[in-house]
Amino acid sequence: MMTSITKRLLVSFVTIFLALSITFFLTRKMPGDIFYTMALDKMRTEGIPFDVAYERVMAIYGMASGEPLYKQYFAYLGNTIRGRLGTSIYYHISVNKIIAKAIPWTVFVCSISIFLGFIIGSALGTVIAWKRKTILDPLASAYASITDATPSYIIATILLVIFAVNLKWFPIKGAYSVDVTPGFNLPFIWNALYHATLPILAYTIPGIGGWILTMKASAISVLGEDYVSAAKARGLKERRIAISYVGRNAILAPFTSLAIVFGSMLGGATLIESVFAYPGMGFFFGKAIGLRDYPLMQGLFLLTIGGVILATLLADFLYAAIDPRVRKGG
Amino acid sequence: MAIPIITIKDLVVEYKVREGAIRVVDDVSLEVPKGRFTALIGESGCGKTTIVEAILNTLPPNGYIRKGEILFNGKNLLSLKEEEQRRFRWKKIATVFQAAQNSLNPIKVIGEQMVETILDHESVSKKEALKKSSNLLELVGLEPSRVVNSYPHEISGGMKQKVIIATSLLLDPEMLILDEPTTALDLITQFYLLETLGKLHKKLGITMMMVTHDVSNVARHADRVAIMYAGKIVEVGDIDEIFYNSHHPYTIGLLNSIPSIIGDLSKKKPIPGLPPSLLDPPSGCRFHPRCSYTEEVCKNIVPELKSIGNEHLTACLRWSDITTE
Ligand SMILES: Nc1ncnc2c1ncn2[C@@H]1O[C@H](COP(=O)(O)OP(=O)(O)O)[C@@H](O)[C@H]1O
Ligand code: SF4
Ligand SMILES: [Mg+2]
Repeated sequence: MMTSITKRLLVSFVTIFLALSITFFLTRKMPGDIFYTMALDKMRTEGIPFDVAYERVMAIYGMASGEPLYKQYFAYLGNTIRGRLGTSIYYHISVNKIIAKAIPWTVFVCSISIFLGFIIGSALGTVIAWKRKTILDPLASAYASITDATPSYIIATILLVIFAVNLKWFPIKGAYSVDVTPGFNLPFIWNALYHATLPILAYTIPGIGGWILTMKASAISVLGEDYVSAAKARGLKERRIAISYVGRNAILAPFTSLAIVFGSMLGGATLIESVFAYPGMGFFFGKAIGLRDYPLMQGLFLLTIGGVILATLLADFLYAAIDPRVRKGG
Repeated sequence: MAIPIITIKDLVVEYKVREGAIRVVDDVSLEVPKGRFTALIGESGCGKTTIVEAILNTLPPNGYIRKGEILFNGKNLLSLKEEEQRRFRWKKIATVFQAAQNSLNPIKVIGEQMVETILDHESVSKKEALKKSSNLLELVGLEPSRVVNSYPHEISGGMKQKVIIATSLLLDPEMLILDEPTTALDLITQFYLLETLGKLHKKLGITMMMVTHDVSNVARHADRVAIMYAGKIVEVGDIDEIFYNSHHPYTIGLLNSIPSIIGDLSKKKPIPGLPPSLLDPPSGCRFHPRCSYTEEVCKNIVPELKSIGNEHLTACLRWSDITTE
């Protein structure tokens, strides 16, 4: 077990390093040098010659143009390791600050959505597998394929148009109103939930469908196991068989997916958050891409990858915690 | 003879298949005497498991009882309502099935699985349930303290099978049916498991019925034997009668094919040919294509299982000419 932990940590470390390097070289090869565009901008607004403007832009972002690429690379690595992600071109503040502000909102919305989707979806999936041949089965399948085929921003837009624009039940944008004080107080939390409702729905609606299918498949395979028929033969109560024989075994496989989904949430919300102008990671990702704000892009990208890697690691450990066969390394 | 705990009368079981219906159990009548250890022996595919499933009403979806009666203590099992049947199953007749190795929940410790079996049937405290579980584990020769908190994957195959047998005894059933309980175990483990079963039978006086394709499995502990061939019971009797005074060529052939029971290795000879297809069984006596005593009459008349005295029944037209040499 110890060696496998070390191995996993090592793999994670290498992955992060590769991600860092790829991010660096890719952005440097991006079409339309962003600094070029910015220098043009600066030249016009400040009335200075292009060369000077370009030098200044490069200096601002720690990219002294004369430096050879490898030196820039090591400087970048060094900064990143020390947790300095650079300065946003558009917002003129450090990327760290932007991320620190954005993360809580994304985590707030996504974790509620993922949990809701997982709990509702896997409960329904188990019931469908258990009961078989009910009207629920074709209904759930249709629901899952429709919501899966519909792009998330369309779901988000539909929700926005119906519930925010037309019915005016929910706010159109933002994470909270100006008249509440951010902090750990009830009015604020309530207000934040109110603002988060539509984004959460936009996430959860397709999420439920996916979990229904995953859990149904897993539960059906568990239902064929000998220990389930043996439990029935022993005359155990239906409820116990459904929950602690079928449910608990069937959830093992989807559980790993759950952890990965959790890890990917930091980067996965771009379109939904953009539709609701919800100031989370995805919203800034959208902005960064649109504005070619690549220090910001780079920082967000790194965090996304970090999240996935961390989640994968976590999934392994959690899996070991719920499956005794893994725990003993057997 | 002892009172029968199970009486099977003219039982016919069929499976619906693409070609039509295969009659897997054909007009079987059998009494399982109370308090004794009965073995049901026959080659693989002859219909043993199907009989067990008919008794327990756990036939696969395409299987059905076409005809016949199954009585348990004189009560017709086939007329019980579904809920009655479910309660009935583990409390009156417990079963240990063929693929029992996987019949424990892999993510629950063994003690918990045993305790909840008691709690779902009887109103006793958890502590009492655990005590009873431990006692039974001890009875089958396991160390309760070691097993109770183990997960199924942490114990060996033989131990698992013993756990399953202990579990089957949790509700003090009147009868235990074991369907090939030693398959998938190595020979030594098989031997000890059979010893354990024999001991249990003596100690608890519980009625046992063991299904097997391997005569050597039951030679030491069974006291009554039923021989099955191609969907029919061909001979029934006390073990000594069957082993030393058989009047059916198939039984004799079966015993001769196993060196360790009777005769020495040089005399070991397998029965020529293969068991017939149940889709299209031979006419008359189903054993006639393989029987060395076959006469013309055997091809036309279906031999009935009839008593020849000494609580011994046989289904051979020429039974009086046939003896164990
Ligand atoms: N569900 C089923 N559908 C069709 N045929 C079956 C089914 N189960 C068993 N059979 C057939 O019925 C016959 C008897 O099977 P079984 O009772 O399992 O025999 P045994 O336990 O003696 O090996 C075999 O030929 C087998 O192929
Ligand atoms: S009836 Fe005829 S074929 Fe059948 S076992 Fe007896 S002798 Fe053999
Ligand atoms: Mg069988």
